[in-house]
Order: sequence, then C-alpha cells, then structure tokens
Amino acid sequence: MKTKTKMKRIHYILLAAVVLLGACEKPVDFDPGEVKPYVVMISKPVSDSLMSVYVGYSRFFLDNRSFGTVSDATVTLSDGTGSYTGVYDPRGFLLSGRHYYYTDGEYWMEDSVFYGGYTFTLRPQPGDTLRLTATVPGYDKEISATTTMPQMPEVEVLDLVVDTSEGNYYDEYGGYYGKGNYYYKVRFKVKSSGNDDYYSVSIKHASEYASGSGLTYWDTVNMRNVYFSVNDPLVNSHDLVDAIDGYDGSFYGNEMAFSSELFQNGEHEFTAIFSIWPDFDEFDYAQIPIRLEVRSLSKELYRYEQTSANAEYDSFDGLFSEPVQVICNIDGGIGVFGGATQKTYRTPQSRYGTFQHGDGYYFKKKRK
Amino acid sequence: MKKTTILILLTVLCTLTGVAQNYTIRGTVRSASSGETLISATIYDMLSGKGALTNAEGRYSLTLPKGKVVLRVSYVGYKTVFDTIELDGNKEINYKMATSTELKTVTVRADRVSSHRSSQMSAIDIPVEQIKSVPVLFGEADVLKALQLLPGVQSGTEGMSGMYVRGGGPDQNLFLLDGVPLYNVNHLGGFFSAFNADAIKNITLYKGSFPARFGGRLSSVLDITSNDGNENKLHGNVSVGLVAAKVNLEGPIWKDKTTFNVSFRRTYFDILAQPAIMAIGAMEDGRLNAGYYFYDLNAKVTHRFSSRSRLIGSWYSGDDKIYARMRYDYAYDGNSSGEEKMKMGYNWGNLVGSLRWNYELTPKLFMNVTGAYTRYRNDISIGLEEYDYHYSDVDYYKAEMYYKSGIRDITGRVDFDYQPNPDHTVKFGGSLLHHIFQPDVTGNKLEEGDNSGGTVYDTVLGESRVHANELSAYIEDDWSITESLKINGGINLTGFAVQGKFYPSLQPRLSGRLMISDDLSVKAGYSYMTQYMHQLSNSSISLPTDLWVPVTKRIAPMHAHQVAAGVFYNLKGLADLSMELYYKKMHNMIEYRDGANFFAASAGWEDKVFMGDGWSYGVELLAQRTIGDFTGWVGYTWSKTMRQFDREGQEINNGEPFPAKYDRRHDISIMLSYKPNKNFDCSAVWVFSSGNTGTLPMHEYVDPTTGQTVSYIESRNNFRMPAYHRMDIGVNFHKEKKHGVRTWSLSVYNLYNRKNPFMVYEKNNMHSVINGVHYSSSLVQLSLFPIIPSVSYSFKF
Repeated sequence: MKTKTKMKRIHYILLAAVVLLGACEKPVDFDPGEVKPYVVMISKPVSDSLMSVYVGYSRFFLDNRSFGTVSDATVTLSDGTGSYTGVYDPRGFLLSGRHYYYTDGEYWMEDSVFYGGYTFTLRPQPGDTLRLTATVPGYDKEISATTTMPQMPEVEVLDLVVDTSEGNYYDEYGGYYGKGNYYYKVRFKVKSSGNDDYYSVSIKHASEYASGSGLTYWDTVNMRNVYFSVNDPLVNSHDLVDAIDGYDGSFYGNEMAFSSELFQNGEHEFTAIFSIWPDFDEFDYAQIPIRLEVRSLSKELYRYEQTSANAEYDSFDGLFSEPVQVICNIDGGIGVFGGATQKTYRTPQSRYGTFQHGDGYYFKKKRK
Repeated sequence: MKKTTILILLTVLCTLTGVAQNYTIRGTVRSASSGETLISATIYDMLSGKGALTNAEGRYSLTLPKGKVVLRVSYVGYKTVFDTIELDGNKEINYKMATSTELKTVTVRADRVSSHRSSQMSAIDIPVEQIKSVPVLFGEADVLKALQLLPGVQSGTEGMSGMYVRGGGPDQNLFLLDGVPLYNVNHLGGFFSAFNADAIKNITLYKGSFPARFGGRLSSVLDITSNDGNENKLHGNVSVGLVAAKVNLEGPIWKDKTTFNVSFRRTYFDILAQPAIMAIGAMEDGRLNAGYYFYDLNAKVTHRFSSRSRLIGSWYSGDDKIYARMRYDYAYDGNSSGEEKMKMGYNWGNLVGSLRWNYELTPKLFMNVTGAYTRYRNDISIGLEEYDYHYSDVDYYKAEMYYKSGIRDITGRVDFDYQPNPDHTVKFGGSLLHHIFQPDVTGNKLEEGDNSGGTVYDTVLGESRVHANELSAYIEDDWSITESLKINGGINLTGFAVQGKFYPSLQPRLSGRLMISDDLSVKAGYSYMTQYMHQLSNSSISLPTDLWVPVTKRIAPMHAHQVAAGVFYNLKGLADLSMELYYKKMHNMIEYRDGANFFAASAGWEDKVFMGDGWSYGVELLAQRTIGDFTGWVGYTWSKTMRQFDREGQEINNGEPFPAKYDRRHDISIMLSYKPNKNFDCSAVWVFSSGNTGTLPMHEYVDPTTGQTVSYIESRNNFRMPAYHRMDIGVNFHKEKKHGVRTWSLSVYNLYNRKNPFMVYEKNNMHSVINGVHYSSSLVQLSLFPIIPSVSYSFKF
C-alpha cells in the first residue's frame, strides 16, 4: 500500500509541476440555461420487510440548497394482485450511523438522521414483481419503475475464527496500519442459480458496551461496519461497491458487491479478513459479536449500487479517472427501485456468554 | 474465356512495359548547395507530356520513346532546370538544383506536386524552414504544433503535442522517422515534440486516402525524413533559446562518398534552477538536488558505394529525466540522532536505430532494404533510507521501489519502386515486425531492523512480456489512365499474431483525380485501415506512463473505413484553394469504462476498457499562397466526431452515442508570413476552435438509504468548455557575418493574453460566517499559458 500511495503521489507531483508552469484559475461564467430538476424516487425493498419510498427533487450541481423531500406526491405500489397507496411519514428513512455537524462554532454529534418517505404495509416476497408509480404536483410526468424481488441467496458459512497469531492490520481507509495479535476470518460460499445473480456482502460488529439490568453487554443495536479485505483473484474494484483498492489489488471496503459472472454462474468461496476497533478500550476480542449479511440484489439495484459507489469514489480521484454515470431505472425521473433478499449470520451465542438480553450479548470483562 | 483472359493479360503487359522503342532516363536530383537529395522533385518531358517524381531517396526513373526530349526539372524553392537531350539509349542523368532567388520562401504545399494535379489527396508536405518560422511556445520550433495548424488536424489540450486527425485518437497516428515507427513523440508531458527541426529534411502528413505502402494506424501517417548531411563541406548551426540549446553539424566524411549529420538538443532549466533548489534544501537543514531535463540526439551517416547503391545508418535517442536526491541529518540531543535519504529517478524516452540499403536493381527497379530496432521505455525508481541512532543502537528502514514498462520492435522491411513507363509508378514490398511488449513491472523491497537483525520483503510483480509478430505486404500503382484521369490503387495485407491468435486483414486503398481544366480538379478516395495496438492513456494529459498494449484474445484490432472527396483549384498561380469532405467510421475502438483509474493502467487493462465504435465527418477548406513576399494559409474545418459503446455488457453512456472528447465543430487557423528581404522576416498565427467537451454532473440528489449525495451525469461529454483562441507573432533578424549568418528570433505566444481553458472543474468553497461556515460551489477554469515572450539566438555556418 505504501508503494501504491507513493506512485500516486509521484503522479500528483508531476501534474502539479506541469500545472505550476503557468497555471491560473478563474471562475467560469457558466450559463447552463434552464436546468429543470428531476424527480428522484428511491426504494430498495428487502424481502419480508416493510418498504419505504423516497420522493424528492434533484438540484443543480452548483446550487447548495438542501434537498427537499416531496411530501404531497401520490405513490402507488402494485404487485400484480392489488394496488397500495403509500402514506407519507416524515421519519420514513432512518439514516443509520452517526454523523457530525457544525453549528454555533462547535462540532456536534448526532446519532441519526431521518428522511421523509412513503411507507407501505406490503412485505414483498422473493419472486414478486413490483411496480411503483408516483405523481408529483407541478411535475409534468408520471414516474415509474419495476423490479422483481430476487430469490434468497444460497450461502454456506464455512468459518468464523479469531486468529491470535500475528498479522497485518489495515486502517479503515485501506492503509497499512501495523501489526497486531488479533484478526478475524470469515469464510463463506455462494452458489449461484446458474443465471446471472448479483450479491452484496457486508460484515458488522458491535462496537460498544451498554448496560441493562445491572449487567454490561455488547450493544448490537448499532452495529458498526467492518472494513474487510478479500484477496481474491476474481474480485477487482470494478465489481465492488464502496471498494477501496488494497494491497496487491485486493478488495478492501465495508461492502462488497459482485456478480456471479465472476465465477461463471457457478459457486465460489470467499474469505474475508478484518480487524476491529471497538470504542471501549478494554475488551476481549474473542467476545465481540460479529454479523455477516449476504444479500441477493436485483440487477437494477446492483448496477445502481455499483455505479453510485464508484461515482463517490471517483469524486476523490476525478482528475485521473473517467467520470461515472449512475445507472438509474426510473422512467421519467432518476433514482432506483430495486429489490433485495437477505440472509444474516451471527457468531454463535454460546461462545460469547450465557445470557442474552435484548439484541445484545453479555460478556465477561477480560481479566487484566 | 481463356482467350479473353490471355488478351487482357497481354494488354496489361503491353501497357506496363510499352511496345514502342523506349529508353529509360534515371538519376538523382540533389540540392546544389548541400548535396541533399530532393524528395518529390518533378522531372517532366515537355514534348510527350510525361513525367515522374523522385522517390524518398531522391531518385527518379522516366521511360520515354526514342528521340528528342526536353526535360523540365522542378522543385519548390529551387530554380527550374531545362535540359534538352537526344534519347538514343538508356541514360543516367543527375541534377543539382540551385536555390531560387526569385521564388522567395515557400510555405505549405498541399500534396506532392501541386494540390490539384496529384492523384494523392488528404496529404500535406511542410517545408522544414516554414516550421521553423511558425511562432511557438518558448520559441522552440515544433513540428507537431505546426501540423496542428492545418485543417483536419486538431490539437488536444493547450500546449500538448497530441494530434487528433479527422476524429481519430492520439494513438491512431503512425510516426515514422526514416521509415521506422516511433512510439512516444512527446517531451515534458507533451509540451514539446521529440522531433528536432534542425535534423529534419522532409515532412509529409497523410490524413486520409492512404497509399497502400502505409499501414498499422487508423488516422494518419507522419512520414519524417532526416537530413543526410552536406556532401560539400562542413556546416553547422548553434542555437540558444529560453529553455533549450541546440547544435547541428553536417558535412562530408569522405568526399562524394560519405556524409554525416548530427543534431543534439538539451533543455537546461534544471541547471538554471539548481541554486534555488539547493536553497530550498538548505532551508530544511538538508541537501537537495533535483531537476528535469530532456535531450534529443539525431545522427545519420550516408555512404554512397556507387551511383546505384547507398547505405544509410541513422540513430535517434531522446529521453526525459526527472531526478531528485535529498538528505537530511538531524540530532535530537547529544545521544540521539537520525538521517534520512531519498532518491528518485523518472526516465522515459525512445531509441531508434536503423540501417538501410538502397540499390538500383535495374534502371526501372529500385530496392530499399531496412533493418531497424525501436525501443520505448518508461522507468521509475524510488529509494528511501531512514536511520535512528541512540547511543550505540540503530533502527533502520529501507525501501526501494521500481516500475518499468516499455515496448521494443525489431523490424525487417523491403520496398521496391518500379517505374515501367511514365504512366505507372508501382510500389511493392513487405515487412516483419517483432514486438515485445512489457506493459509493467513493479518491484518492491522493504528492509527494516536494528542492531540485532532485520527483515527483508522483496516482491516483483508483472515480470511478463508479450511477444507479437506483425506481417505486412503491399502493392500499389499510381496510374495515369489518360491525361486527365489518374488513379492510385493498392492492397495492404497484414496479419498480427499474438497469444496464439492470428488476426489477418486485407486493406484495399483507392484514390483518383480527374482534371476538369488545367486549374481545376476533383478527387476522391477510399481507404481501409487496421490497427493492432492501443495506447492506454488519460486522454486529456499526455503522461509518460501512457502505455502501448497489443490486441489480445479479448481486445480485437481496430479498423476504419474512410471516404473522402474534394475539389482543388489553382488560382492563376497565386494561390491553391481546396475543399475536402470526409467520412470515417471506426470499429473496435477502446475507451476507459466509467470510473476506470488511469494509474497502473496496464494492471488488468482489459478489464478497464470497453470496445465500441466511432465516426467522424467534416469539411476542410484551405486557401494557401506559396509564392511571393507574403505567404501563408487560411484553414477552416467543420467536423463532428461521435462515439458509441453499445455492445452488451460494455455500455458507456447507456449505449447511446456521445461526442468524443475533442469533438469540435469549428477550427480556424490563419498563418501569415512576410519576408521582404534576406535580413528580416516575420510571421503571425491566429487560431480559433470551439471548446473541447467534458463531463459535468449537472444534477445532484440525496440517497436517503446511505446519506450519500449522488452526482448524476445525464450523458458523457455533456459540457462544452469555452472556445479557444490566441495569436502568436514572431520576427527573425538575420545578418550575414564573416563565417555565417546569425539570427535573433523574437516571438510572443498568446499575444493578447487570452486565458484559454486547460481544464474546468467544480470547486467547493468554505466561507466563515457568524454562525459557523457556509459552503458554496463554483465552476473554475484552469488556464496554463498567459502571454509568453521568448528570444533565441542562432548562428549558422
């Protein structure tokens, strides 16, 4: 990684030297004419779960106004057997994870952010074909999209181990961090249906302690994404979502998406290796709960996730890479309507404690 | 049927060989002052109306009926020679032509003889003297930048040498130096081209209707012939400019037998900047030695065994070098200290060596045998050492990294010129190129430890080479069917063997000219071209890490069909006017897929590109004046260039057509030169072009499932940058001195300081406000070159 970073630096230095020959900047008088905003519709239903639909407007890229949610749209969902109308809920989407914001001269941390969405009571099932339409007052087109919920992924988890031998650690940006005594390994096998199937994989870990009923336990409500590496000859950054190139071209990121085309629509075994850094500074590595999530994605969702993640990555590296067009499937607007089915695997409970409370695991503090 | 076939064959044979009692005049046309052979000089019999052109070696062959012959030998810029002879047998007549004093300087000659008489279209010759007089950046004469001023040839980004000919990419141009391909033609990322104008004799650019003898690229052939050397006496030229110094020496080694020509050019701003760089190092309590330079070395030796046999050895090497060495020593206290050392080298460049033997087999048949070696390499190396000392303990860390890539060609080639009679000029031959591609090799060595020992990590990646063989055979005939109708037709047959796969290609070429009147002609041409290699590059910046890669099992060869037609008019000998229309369709072009990163481009490069198609069409207008005190040209091009990548799984822009990066609707160039006397000349250039395209995400939206702000691009290259225009001027003051002529050259680039776009990008600004911060975005243009005056001094002896 060091080598690769240095190579990159050299190129930047070269370009800087060229530019410094006489470079000067000036703002461009840019008259784009009338750039009409698109209506944005986003919904990523997961099988057997309640679904929400976001409807909003896009903005011109030099405009810094906040994104508005459309609360008076008519959003209709049909599954072939009936039609359903969405109900607007200002807390329709919970954006998980923390984020920092700045106000009154100080930084603040907020646990969650909500976006309004249209909620439905329908719980889509694998194989369902769904059609979503929306009409927005003042927008002259009806927007619509169709998706078919994929079948459940066929996954076999082969291994989840904590290795106490010395190994390399990588930080969350994929950089070489140093050596340590603990890293984790998850081995799982994915078997395709024989057709082109699309998957995403993420791994999470509980990050902090919580207390309840006089006991201290790992809080697994807010699971933190794990940055894991997959040094797999089939996998390269173009097939991945949120990929950060790692050493030797291996994948290193917090979510991996891939197509079964990689392994000729057969089956393939992946090995993910990672380290974790819980917030608490005294912990027993062996007791931290780990969760593996494997999803089957519809093709439209896969292409959207892949391109939107690559577009974000490209924004950091734009001078030296081709721009990325996000592939949408919304007729008359932009966004995505694509379904997913998910299987979740957790570390065996018996290994982490004898008593379960809520969504957490009790544990014993590591003896000093 | 059989009789008919025999009759046709006999007719063709009689046409080729002639049935009357004919004799052949052959010989060489040279400059009287230097002895240099003159390429494309005209030898014309005024009685029979038959004529011939000298070939690339300055030789001609003209077969005429027995009897009186009045030959007119002409070459632009030289006095015309008239010679009356009684042709009663085969003769060898060599001509030495004196420089014209009446014609003054000639600028551009479109086509070889005259723009309206030749059967060749879409070809341009530029006299080297004219290239030297075009005012350019930093006063450094530049072949490629002069060519960019011609219709149908576009520059890429300002200051760069990239050539985009009729909608083609920069890797679709074949650069031949004395017949040998050259891969990297840029110095300093494209700000200077690799061709030293002092070493060049002749430049011909073909942008369509390619003769069958050329192949291997889709869009253009730039055929450059270097000087042989003065055969009469030692001459030289020394020049000192703002960024580079040049020296050129030429002369006889063995009177009338052997000549040499050597040119050397080197930049020296690394030397000038050395005190400042050392001062920077001293400010950091260390030592720093860093810089950049490039050099070119051209050398050519020509030996004449006899009037029928010559051997020519030529050499070119040019390198760019960036180097840095740093060392810092520091002490924490009396017992602890440390030192850091870093060195870096970045070298890239070409090496071309060739040996060519010309031999006249018969008065009508001329042979050229060439053996050549070409190498392009690109090497980077970095070394780092850190030592920490504490009492007698030492901790150390050492790292070495290198990166190498390149391509080597070994070429064998044989060409024949056959002139059976004045109505036919037949060329045929073949070649074998063995390519050795080394896309990239990366090596890393890490070593760390202390007094008690250390650990070494040593890794080498990509140490594989790709071998490929490229075969080629061709035949072409320039045939005067009647006085007014002339055609040039031929076939180029090629094949490329790589990775156990063989790609054959049969490429027909045809062009014709019909004289409507003495001053007016129409021409049309068709050519089919195939290209077996690609250059992986960031299309906006010419980095030395741009790599040449071959076609593979997955990536098929590119090919292109091009048709062109034009009208050519000679305006009472005062100016040549032409209009050409063209349409070009290209297949199997490659483009980087969305998001592909240009770094380490060869690593899995097939996964980073998609294959698709492209097309370009346009009209080119050229009005040029070649004689008199005032010379110059006005060129205008209207063109449209599109790409479409709609193959399944390889879609770019959702499979819809999109404009190419350098799709520009209008290009105008005006070049004027004025030379009232031998002591002074001046010139001015004005160029205008529509802005290049770029991709901007015009829309943004939030994805509530991730919180990510998504930039939405409606289509690739959906944005057009502001138009580009600038004016350059230059003046040359010549004065004859005792031992030669000195010249002071003054030029101003971008006279009215136009801020032209180099790139346009979105800039995010953060402003402090009372309650915190406010963010805003703006579109910002980066411009490279403001007004740049320059001066140079040269002395020619």
